[in-house]
Amino acid sequence: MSSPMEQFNIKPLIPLEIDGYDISFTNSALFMTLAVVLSTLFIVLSMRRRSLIPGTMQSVVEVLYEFVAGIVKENIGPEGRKYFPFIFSIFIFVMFGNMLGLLPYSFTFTSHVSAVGTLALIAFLLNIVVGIRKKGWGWLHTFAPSGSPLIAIPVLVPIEIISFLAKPFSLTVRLAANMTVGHVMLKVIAGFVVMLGIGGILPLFFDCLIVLFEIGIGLLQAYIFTVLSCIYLGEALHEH
Amino acid sequence: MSKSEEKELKAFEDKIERVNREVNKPAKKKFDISFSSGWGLGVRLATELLGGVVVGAGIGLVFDELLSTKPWFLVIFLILGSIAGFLNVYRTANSMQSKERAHVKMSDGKQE
Repeated sequence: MSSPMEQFNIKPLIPLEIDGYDISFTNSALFMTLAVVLSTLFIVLSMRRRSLIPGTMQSVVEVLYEFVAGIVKENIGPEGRKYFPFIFSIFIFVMFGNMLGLLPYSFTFTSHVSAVGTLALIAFLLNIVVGIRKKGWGWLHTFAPSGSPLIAIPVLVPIEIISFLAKPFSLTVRLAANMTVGHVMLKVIAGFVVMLGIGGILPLFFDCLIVLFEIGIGLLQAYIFTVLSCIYLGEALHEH
Repeated sequence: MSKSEEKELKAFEDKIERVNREVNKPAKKKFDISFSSGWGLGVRLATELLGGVVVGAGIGLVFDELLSTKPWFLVIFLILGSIAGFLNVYRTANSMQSKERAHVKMSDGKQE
């Protein structure tokens, strides 16, 4: 029987190598592409008619839009509107990644630290760029809280820098760990179904419940990931 | 805009308002509970603490590798990283608390 961790293996589908670097098109890349294509199709097709009174599909997209707009407004403020496209893209991408990962035989790219970490890193770099553009050299003040005694500075500054660098890390681990745990649990309990034969109905029932639960977790984690990237952006824009 | 269209629009607006009134209160309450569930809170604080320690250790290892001062920078930055981790946990918990207070205030205002 296959191990519950086998679903996270990355397999190259189209082997490619440039200058010694392995840049194969993998199953992970396939599902990222799928997430981008499907979400674009979903939004473009649903918004094609653009009627004043929205149909079902248009309402779904409008609800999504307003949901993310609400997050941006609450966590960044009115000046956050500029960054709405970025936040919306992150939300839709992560959400589609989580949802696609729940389909049988699919691959969950949001369970991989490298994929999620890159997203977090983009948000992190944007935070730095926005902070420097907004405050100039004053941005460095983030690492030396005002009013701290001069003797404490050599200790405080490294601590603040580490605490700043730790943010994208914790953001990544939270999403990846949640997705990994859920999928391992699904596989392990699915293994019981096979082992127990006729008595496997009980774990089968349980597995169905977990799938429902996982849909909730997937949406919630996409939401949390979005909120936290908003908070980081907001921190760059505002004073502490 | 024709008359029938106008009528349709008006009916739709009424419907939206009705649904809004129905949905707003209980939906918001449910959502808050799911966001601040014990599991979510625990994972959030745990990763915050872990992040500080791991990043600190990473910086220490890199410095040691570059300057070949084997354990010293690792020791220093592990300590600093742990402090940073605790600081992050403290800040997260603080912001969670103030957010909760704001929510309580908001819902109190609505009820009056």
